[in-house]
Amino acid sequence: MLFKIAFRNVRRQIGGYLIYFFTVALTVAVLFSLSGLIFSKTVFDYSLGYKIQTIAMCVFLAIVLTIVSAIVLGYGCAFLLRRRKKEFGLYLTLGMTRDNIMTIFAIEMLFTFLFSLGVGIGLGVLMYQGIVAGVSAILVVSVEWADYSAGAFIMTIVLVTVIFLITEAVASSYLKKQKITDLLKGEKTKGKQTKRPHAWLIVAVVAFSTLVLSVTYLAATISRPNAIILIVGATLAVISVFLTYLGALKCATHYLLKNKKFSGKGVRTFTLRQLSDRTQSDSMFFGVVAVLLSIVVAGGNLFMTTYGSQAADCELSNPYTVNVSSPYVEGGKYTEDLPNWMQNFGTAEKMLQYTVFEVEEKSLSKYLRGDPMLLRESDYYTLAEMADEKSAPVNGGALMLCNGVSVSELNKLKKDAEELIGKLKWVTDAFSITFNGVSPSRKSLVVNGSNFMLVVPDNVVDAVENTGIYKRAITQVAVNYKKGSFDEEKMNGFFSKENMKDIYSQFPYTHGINMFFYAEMTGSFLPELRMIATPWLMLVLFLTLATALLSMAVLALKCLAAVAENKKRFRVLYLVGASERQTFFSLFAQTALYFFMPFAVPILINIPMSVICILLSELEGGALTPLQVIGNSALFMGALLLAYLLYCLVTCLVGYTDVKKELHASGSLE
Amino acid sequence: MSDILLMENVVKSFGKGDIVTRALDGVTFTVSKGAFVAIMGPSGSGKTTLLNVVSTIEPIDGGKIVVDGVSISTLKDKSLAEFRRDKLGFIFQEYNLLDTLTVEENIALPLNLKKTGAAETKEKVLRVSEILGVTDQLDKFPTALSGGQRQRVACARAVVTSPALILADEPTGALDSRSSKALMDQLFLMNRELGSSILMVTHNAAVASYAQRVVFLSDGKLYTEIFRGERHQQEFYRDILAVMETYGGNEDVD
Repeated sequence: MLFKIAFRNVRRQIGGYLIYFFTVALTVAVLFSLSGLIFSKTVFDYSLGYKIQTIAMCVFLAIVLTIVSAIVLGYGCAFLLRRRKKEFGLYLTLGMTRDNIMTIFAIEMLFTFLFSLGVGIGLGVLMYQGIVAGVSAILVVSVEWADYSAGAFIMTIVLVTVIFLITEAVASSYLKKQKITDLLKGEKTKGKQTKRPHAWLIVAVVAFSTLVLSVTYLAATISRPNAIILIVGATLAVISVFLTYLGALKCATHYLLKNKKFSGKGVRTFTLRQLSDRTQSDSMFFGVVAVLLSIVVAGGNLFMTTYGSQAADCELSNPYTVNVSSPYVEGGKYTEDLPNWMQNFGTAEKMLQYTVFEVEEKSLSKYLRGDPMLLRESDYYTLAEMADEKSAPVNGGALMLCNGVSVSELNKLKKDAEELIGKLKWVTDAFSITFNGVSPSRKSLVVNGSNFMLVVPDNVVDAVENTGIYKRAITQVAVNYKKGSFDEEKMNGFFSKENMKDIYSQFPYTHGINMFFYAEMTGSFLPELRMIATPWLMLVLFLTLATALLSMAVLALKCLAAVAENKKRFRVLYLVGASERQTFFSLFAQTALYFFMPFAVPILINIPMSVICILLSELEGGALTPLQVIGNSALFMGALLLAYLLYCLVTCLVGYTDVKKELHASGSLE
Repeated sequence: MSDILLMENVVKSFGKGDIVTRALDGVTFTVSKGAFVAIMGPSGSGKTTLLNVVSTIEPIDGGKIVVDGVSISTLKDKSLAEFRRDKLGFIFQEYNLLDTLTVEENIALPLNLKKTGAAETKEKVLRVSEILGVTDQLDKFPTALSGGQRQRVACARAVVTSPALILADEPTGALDSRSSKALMDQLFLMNRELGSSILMVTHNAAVASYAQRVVFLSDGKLYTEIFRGERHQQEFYRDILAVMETYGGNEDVD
């Protein structure tokens, strides 16, 4: 009997369950994607040593998402129940026990979960491939097909069962607390005047000003990051977002309603009053959702900027198609044959063999990674041309070459240049040359070199080489091959241990890279960066998905519960003379404003975040242009907004159907 | 006196196929401008349906309804809303005040829908509030008022746009006898002083006795009608009871 009632209820109330079903199905899809990643044999293969960390992050996320989803979906259940208060009240008056009602609801939820599980896994199969493709695109790795495993299916079913049980427990506790009279009455909202609106206005203004100040301060101090400043600034920003919502929502409608010229037109008073009640009682909820969304937006932006900048920075670390170095070997440089060998791996457009000399200067060790190095002026001009960089004039003096440094390092070097060059006075004194400043180029023109390179006239380097007053010399060959002609595999095979047995047996040390000849190609460091970035990307991606999905679901369910409670009010509005168009306009305005309210500050916060990201990108090397940073940010927000629009639209349509039915219901004018 | 309402052979049915109920079966009658007419009849006689079709909430299946010269059966949604807003005022049994709006906002709502200016709205709201004695309650929410006060606010909302016809559906249904009498005095006053035409559905003979004319429905048809004329209210009340006896409606006598 109870089973039959539950089955009929689900069929009859399919519209009311739509949002809930949609959310559970998407949650299942997200969990299936995570499970797929955890059990995949191939997806994170490029992560090598970081695969364990990445999978551990995914397991952690799966556990967190399961618990959070269960609590939020349980909370959402209360709104499903609120929509049906009267029906449950009627069951009670007819003699059913609360346990009977809980059983009916549990069976209904079981149907919904089972159906959602099926649809969710179907969606998850697609989402999993989409996520793998997206991650591959962001990290520029090739994963053609993500494998599926039985483990992923089983894990998804287990996690969804946990969610179902927690949701049921939350729903049951809600039903137990409700009185029969409350259930039968069915309505909750009642008009009330805003208490202390001026005080709330002050709270909102002060909180918003604090938000602007803290974000501005963070942006201003980003070039000299300090842990305490970051923590205090970020905490202040989070608290400010929350208080801005609390204050603004408590007083906004009060001031709008005071302005009769604005509010006294059409259905505005009705719409504002309806919103006023809901926003005041939900201001804490809005604050929390806004904070979560702001963190997600800020985190997503920061990740995309930092990763993008660092990935582009990897490109700066070797500006040539390939640079091969043969380290200094006691008794001479190895080997004169390098340029000839390099001709075999592609059509060389430009090639240069160059040597840098490391000079020992202990006084500089606290400033530098490695000792200072000297580079021939003529080699510098050629390398700059090959790297497509404008060279600075040396003019017979000494030029400090900032070799692959970040902007902050560059600024520091510029500041410290005089002091550093003073420490190296023996060079300038010995060769009567003057210091001509710092080159602005940030590319690693000398691939295997210290970040303190001194470009000096050729005759000075010749003299250093001839007199032997250097610690070691590194000979390298930089080559730019014609596009598409470079055969990396052939080069690696040529320089392999097996192919160069004679040399390797002569010099057994390998510099830790298992190659005597150390070759760096454009983007050599990208794979390592990808490995480190993958767990963080997972964190950002799934937290964004979960926060957006669950906040949208709760907003939608709250909206629909409110529509169910307000149906009678819409009918009165219609009877008093509002047209259907005006009535539905009020419904849509209430839904859309309610829906997008917690989104306002996250959207606004995107503006200072973009500025911070542009500054950060410049500090990281300016690899991402401001337009790219704004583009990333807009893309991120766009995707989030699109998902919001979809949920809002579905909510509006379900609400519309509910209200339309009420407007045209037969019976008395009541 | 010209007619404010004309109902001509109005038919309204509910249901489909074999199970069709004729709620209104060729009802014909008129209401003159400034008249106060009560509709009575046993349960299922078609009283509420009659009010619903006049208020344009239900479309009719046949016949014609003309309110203040406008044939409502030909109107579309937007015109219907404008018609309800401009020509009709509603008073409901459960008051149907919006509890999220203050008393002032409730009364002003029909004017807001008409996009009346703020100053004019204020002036009209104050005027009807004074007449109906709710000026002190303007800043309160309906939940803070007694049943009688709420119904007076509902009356103020119904007359604020000076509608051609006020439709009242069991206006005293939720009130005690004292409040019922006070409300009916107000309706009587609205009819006499403001010249409002009132069409009121009621079960209560005492309430109906305030009207100038009582139309009786039975099984969706016009059963009979009686006029008060120059008679005293008590006398008219007894006549109403007598008619009710003839169709067995005395179980509703309070």
